[in-house]
Amino acid sequence: MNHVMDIEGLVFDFGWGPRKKRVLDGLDLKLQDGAVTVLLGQNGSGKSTLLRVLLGVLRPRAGRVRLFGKDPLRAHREVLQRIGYVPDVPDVYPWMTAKDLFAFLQPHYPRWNATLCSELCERLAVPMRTKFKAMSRGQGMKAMLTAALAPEPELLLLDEPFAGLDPLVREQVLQGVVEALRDGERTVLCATHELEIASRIADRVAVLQDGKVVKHGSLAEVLGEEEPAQVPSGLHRVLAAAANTQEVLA
Amino acid sequence: MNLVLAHCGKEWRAQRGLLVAYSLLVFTSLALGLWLAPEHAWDHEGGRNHAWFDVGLGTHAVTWFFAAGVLGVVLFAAPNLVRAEFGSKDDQFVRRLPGALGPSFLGKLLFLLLASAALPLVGLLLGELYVAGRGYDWLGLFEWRWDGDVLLKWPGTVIACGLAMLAVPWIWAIGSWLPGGRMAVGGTVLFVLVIGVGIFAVLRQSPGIEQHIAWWPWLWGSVPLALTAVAASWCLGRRGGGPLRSARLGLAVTAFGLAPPSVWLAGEAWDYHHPDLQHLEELSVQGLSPDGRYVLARGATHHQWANVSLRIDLDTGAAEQIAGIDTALSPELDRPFLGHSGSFRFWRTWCDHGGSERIFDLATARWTMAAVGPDGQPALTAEQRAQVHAELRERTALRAPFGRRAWFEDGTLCTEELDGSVSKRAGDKEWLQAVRTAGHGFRTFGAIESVWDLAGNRLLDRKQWRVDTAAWVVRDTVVFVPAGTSGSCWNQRGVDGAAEPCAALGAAAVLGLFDDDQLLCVRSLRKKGEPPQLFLYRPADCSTTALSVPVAAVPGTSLGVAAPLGANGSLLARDPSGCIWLRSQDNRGEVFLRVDTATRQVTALLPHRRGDGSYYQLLDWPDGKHVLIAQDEKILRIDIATGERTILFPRR
Repeated sequence: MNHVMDIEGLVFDFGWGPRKKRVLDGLDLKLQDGAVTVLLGQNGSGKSTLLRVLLGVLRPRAGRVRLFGKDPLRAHREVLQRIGYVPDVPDVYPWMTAKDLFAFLQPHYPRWNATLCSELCERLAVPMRTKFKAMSRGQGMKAMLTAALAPEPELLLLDEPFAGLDPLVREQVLQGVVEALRDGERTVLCATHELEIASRIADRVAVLQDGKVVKHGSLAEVLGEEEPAQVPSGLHRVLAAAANTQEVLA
Repeated sequence: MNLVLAHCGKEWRAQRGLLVAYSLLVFTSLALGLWLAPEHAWDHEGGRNHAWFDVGLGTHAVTWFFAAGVLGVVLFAAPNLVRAEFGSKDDQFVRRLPGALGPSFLGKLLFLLLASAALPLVGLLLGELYVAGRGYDWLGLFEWRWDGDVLLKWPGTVIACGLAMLAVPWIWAIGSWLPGGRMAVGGTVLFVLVIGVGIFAVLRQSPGIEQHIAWWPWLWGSVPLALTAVAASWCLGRRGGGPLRSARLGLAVTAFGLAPPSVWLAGEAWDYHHPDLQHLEELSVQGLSPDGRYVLARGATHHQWANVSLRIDLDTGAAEQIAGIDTALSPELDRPFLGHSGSFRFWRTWCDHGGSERIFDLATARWTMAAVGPDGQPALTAEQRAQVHAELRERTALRAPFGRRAWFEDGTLCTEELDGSVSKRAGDKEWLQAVRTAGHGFRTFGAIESVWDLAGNRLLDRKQWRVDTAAWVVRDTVVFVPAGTSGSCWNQRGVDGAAEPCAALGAAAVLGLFDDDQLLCVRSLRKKGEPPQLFLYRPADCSTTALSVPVAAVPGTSLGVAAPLGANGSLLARDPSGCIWLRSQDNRGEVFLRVDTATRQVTALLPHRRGDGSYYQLLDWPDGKHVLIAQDEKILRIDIATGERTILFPRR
């Protein structure tokens, strides 16, 4: 049976020769279908790089990446039409408005849901006629989230979409994500270093360190490890704090 | 198609502001600048010497407006196809859209095609409107021929625009190879320079090779190659990679595409410098070995190409290249310059690049090195000198009266005396640099231009003798045209006598010494149908003897000497049967005339029509029955009696 995402022995380097820096070093990861997996890791641990490899934007040096059983580099169109992606900052053309963006994206996605797009825009208060270069970061992120959800993707990739947002907007975006998660069997991979996010949305947590997934399981499983030394000490403290938060929330 | 149009529309949205702003700024500035230019700068009427430009303002304005449109494509539309993708953070947005790279490429291509057509056309339209508004015309771009054809003049601006448009796809390609799509135009200039330097190096080393190359198909071929490189760079390179991967793939495609023309050009250059000697288009024979077997020639496989030196074995028809295009061979070895051709065994090189000289033995095909002496002459070894001097003695064409030989050795003039002894006279280097036989003497060129009298062993004082354009020494008499007179005003003067006019030589030309006492002369009547008059002139008594020319056989109105390889000696060259050969030719053909020195009969030989090939070059008389001829790229042996031609070279 094919998992939505199946990664084996993924290796990725930036640069070459003596300046080569290995970012992903034999990474293995299988996502549980329909679950929200939070990819935790410190800044520079390779979370964004992993997502870009999954999107076919970067080419791994070695390893096997399968999304819906297919290689995203070879079956680019087929795979990417089933994926929604929200980057850490809006990276569309600055002269575009949200309306332009949705009109431009629509022909790329056969399952583009214009009604859903309108609803999301209304719910998130996306400014339709403002150019991206004139939008605030929060407005831009809302538009990107709408663009990612409108094609009704089976896999949603989130690359620290809440970082740097003011608390109100952050809550709005987070709420949008949470509502999107309610919708059926959508598999989500959310890269973040914020434990609060993980505590609110995660079904499972994968901890990325030194280019490898060192822990992968439910939040409780990850925190319940007997030898937490494998988790960075700082992160372990944060994880523990998050567990407390979860208890409080519960 | 929907996706392609979506990406094309996106390009328009991305670039429209810039292109519109550029157009407004440039076209307005151009119109204003042309309006402010002084009126006298333009040559409206034609023929104004003081005008800055050779055609009127209208023509220039139209071409400049057009060029401004082209410039907009080159500087903005093409580079921004990639640059605009980096408008935000990087170009990952388009790279992560599902299957968008192919439609993106096609959409950009469609936009580029539209922009390439629209911007220059807008420029042309605005130019025409501007010119019409100011009351000028732009007829300087073309002219009506008398037969109704329109002749386009293609001013340099238009040609530059055409070349710039050919570079547009390369700007796009190179933009996709550079980080951020920056410096696409500069990168293209660099790329063109790199390619151009390679081509220039080949052209520089092979002058004239460009005449044989059809450039336009190659230039047009560069457009699909560039578009293929872009397609590879963008559609494949950007999938899972950035500019570096695009550059790798694009350059690989470019190298693959440039390989065939590069190999072809290299092949042409190789053929240029190493021609197929059996398929020459051009052949000029320079010399013959003394035994008549080997020919030294220069040839090329195309008329516009520089010649290489080759040695041909007439017995077998085999030929070998002996030197490159920059190396010429000359028989000038330890003797004054007598001409570039002749029948000699030893030849020296003249290299454009200087350095040491080589000596070539035409008989054995052996090269020997020779250092260059202070006088610029090869410093021969003792063995070389002995061989060369022996040949100089044997092959000399200089004769004093009574058949006494004269030759040069180490700057010394040697003359045989009647008793067989040799008298030597150290010559002045200045006047021994170059000589030309003139009967029983020779003319000297260089610092001192005069006549050396072999009979009297003296250099005639030029001022005293007033010898100028033509002079012939016959025993102790000099027949000459005095300085400052016309070519037909002949005088003669004895050793100590005064100059007196030769009425018998009026309007005649002297061909050379018929024997020790008489000059063979010809007088052209310059009337249609009138054959030239051939006669002998004896200076001793100023008498003439007419020779009968076969009127019907002579095509031209004049006669010239036909000597093997054009090398004449003191006496006119003669074949093994003792006959002198002359030649008469016009634009319809030519014929040889054989003058029997014993009976003084003149017979016509080997008539040859021009349509059958170019004029004959007489190479040798191998025996009394045959003559060796060079014609076009062939060397022939012709039977004098029957006219039967045997091709000795090439034997394909």
